[in-house]
Amino acid sequence: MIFPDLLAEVERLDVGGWIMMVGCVGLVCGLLVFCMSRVLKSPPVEGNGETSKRREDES
Amino acid sequence: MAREHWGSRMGVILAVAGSAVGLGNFLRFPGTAVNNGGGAFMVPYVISFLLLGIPIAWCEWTIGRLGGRYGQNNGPGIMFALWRRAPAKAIGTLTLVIPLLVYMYYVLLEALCLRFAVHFFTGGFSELFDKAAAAGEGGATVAVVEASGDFAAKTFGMSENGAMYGTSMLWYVLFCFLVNFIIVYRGVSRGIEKFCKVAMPLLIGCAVVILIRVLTLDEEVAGRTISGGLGFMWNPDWARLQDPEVWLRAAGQIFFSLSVGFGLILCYASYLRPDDDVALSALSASSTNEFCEVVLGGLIIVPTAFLFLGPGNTPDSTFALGFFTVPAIMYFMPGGAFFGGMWFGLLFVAAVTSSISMLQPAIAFLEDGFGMKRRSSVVVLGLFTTFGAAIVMYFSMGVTALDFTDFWCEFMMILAALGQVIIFGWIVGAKKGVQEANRGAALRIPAFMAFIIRYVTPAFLLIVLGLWCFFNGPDRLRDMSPTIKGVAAERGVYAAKIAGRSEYADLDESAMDAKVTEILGVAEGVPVSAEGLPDWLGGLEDAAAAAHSEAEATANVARFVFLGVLLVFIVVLVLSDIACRNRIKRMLDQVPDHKASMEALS
Repeated sequence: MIFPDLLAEVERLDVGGWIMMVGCVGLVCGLLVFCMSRVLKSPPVEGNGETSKRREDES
Repeated sequence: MAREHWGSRMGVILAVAGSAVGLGNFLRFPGTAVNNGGGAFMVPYVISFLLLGIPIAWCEWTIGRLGGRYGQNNGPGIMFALWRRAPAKAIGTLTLVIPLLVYMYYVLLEALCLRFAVHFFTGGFSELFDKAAAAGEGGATVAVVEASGDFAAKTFGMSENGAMYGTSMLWYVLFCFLVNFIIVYRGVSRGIEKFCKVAMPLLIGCAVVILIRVLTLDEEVAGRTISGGLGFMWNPDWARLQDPEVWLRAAGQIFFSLSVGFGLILCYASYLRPDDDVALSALSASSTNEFCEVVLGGLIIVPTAFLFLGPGNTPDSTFALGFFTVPAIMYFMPGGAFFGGMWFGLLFVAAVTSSISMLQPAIAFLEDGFGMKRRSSVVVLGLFTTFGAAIVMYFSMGVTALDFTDFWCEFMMILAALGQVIIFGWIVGAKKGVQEANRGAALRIPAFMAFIIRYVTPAFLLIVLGLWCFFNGPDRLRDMSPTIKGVAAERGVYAAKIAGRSEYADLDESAMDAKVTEILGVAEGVPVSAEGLPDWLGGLEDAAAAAHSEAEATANVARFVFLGVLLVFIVVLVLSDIACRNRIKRMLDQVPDHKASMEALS
């Protein structure tokens, strides 16, 4: 069985669990927001719709 | 011929994140975390992310973009462009072989997700589980979990080899092949990027909807609540941090989840322009993957499984958790038919974004290395992967072929990652490599990362490789021996009968082993002789012989898979060598600044 029987005694989220859950979720969400905000702020890359179309036409 | 490039930065980030986000995020992570200390597991997990995941991702993105600068989108060509030695070809070959082999079994799981989504949306599961719950003698929960497991086992043909061909899975697999190859045929920008730009937000949106549903569940089932489920998942067991296996599992989870080091990112990054950012893009793709894993994967399945099924009804493998247990969980959840369909639908989309990334490296190799046009390369690759997937599909009994292919791929992934980090840190040079990564960067990689990439990450990978071999190697080698497996299976039949006797009910595992040895009169690994056995063990000869021959057949499949993987590696290595000696070498010689820039780098 995946869950050891001992864990069946767990009844609710304790302080340690709460800190780990909120901490990890916050860390990941913070990292994602930090990265995505910088990605969206940075200048866009030149699109290549034409390039890929030309390549496929040639092939 | 004009080279193909990504159309936007967000496009490449979502494509790379899509290649990484898959079943491992939503199923493997929560199962691994809850078994390895719950919240405490996150300590080695975060350390592995910082010392293993991020550095390898930066290496791979940078090497890929560098290779693309020299006109190479394929692993062997990229490695050969950086280091004109035989080991470079072997490392490049690994980056081709791993995605190809993984695709051959991953497409079956992709088809299974679609099959389950359709079965939920058409009401098939509700009907099946209603009947099971009504007829169940051991309670509705047990009956539904058993019915779910039976359905998955039957659909996946787990009872005997070749059984999957007799189910509707064949059509779902063909459909998945068609979808994957149409996307890949359309090219990087018009196919993969366009698909991922729609699929990734859709997938995350669906998962967030399911997450909200889960966190707002106010049911109390046999005294259990969703808060208890979250505690079950996240309450830390700090003592587990003393176990080296927990650290290995955390490193393995990061490594396999981020899809770093085995060629997918290498290929995707090679379609960047020389001055496109890699540092921020790599971090963004990794953080998107982590969001899907920790937030969506960590908060949905295990807390819900705990709430509705309790701690005793959940199997210990990712496959069983995902396809035996989840349908049962969804049945008990209010609105479960809809949310179940949505869950398997999002897993299907996640699997497609991963599958297409596994095909692209081989397409690029056929185009760059042998001058094939897109149509020819898609046809050749389609035939090859169909043949491979057909074999994995045939050996479906106990998912043996899938399991062993996955095992050897994991082994090769660690080797490929190690090879890439060594090329980046020692051949190109870590300082120069970091400078190269910072070219056009929207986020500068700190200088101390050069030290980490040169020393810490390779050492960490070597430890992971050593521990991985130590914990998995002996068992897997035994699994490939028909004699050892057969004798063990035969003994297992007698042991089950002995363990079933009431006078031995209180014995622990080691005492039971000793008791079995005493009663059978032979040590473990020695064939049991029917003579001299107690009367109450009589009549088991036929069952023992059947178990023996079944185990032998499984071991033979394991050997077959090993030889198949080795053969594919050798064939692709020979092809890589031919391509590098001819077309790729000519292409590199035509790049005006190749030699000078390589000398400047190393």
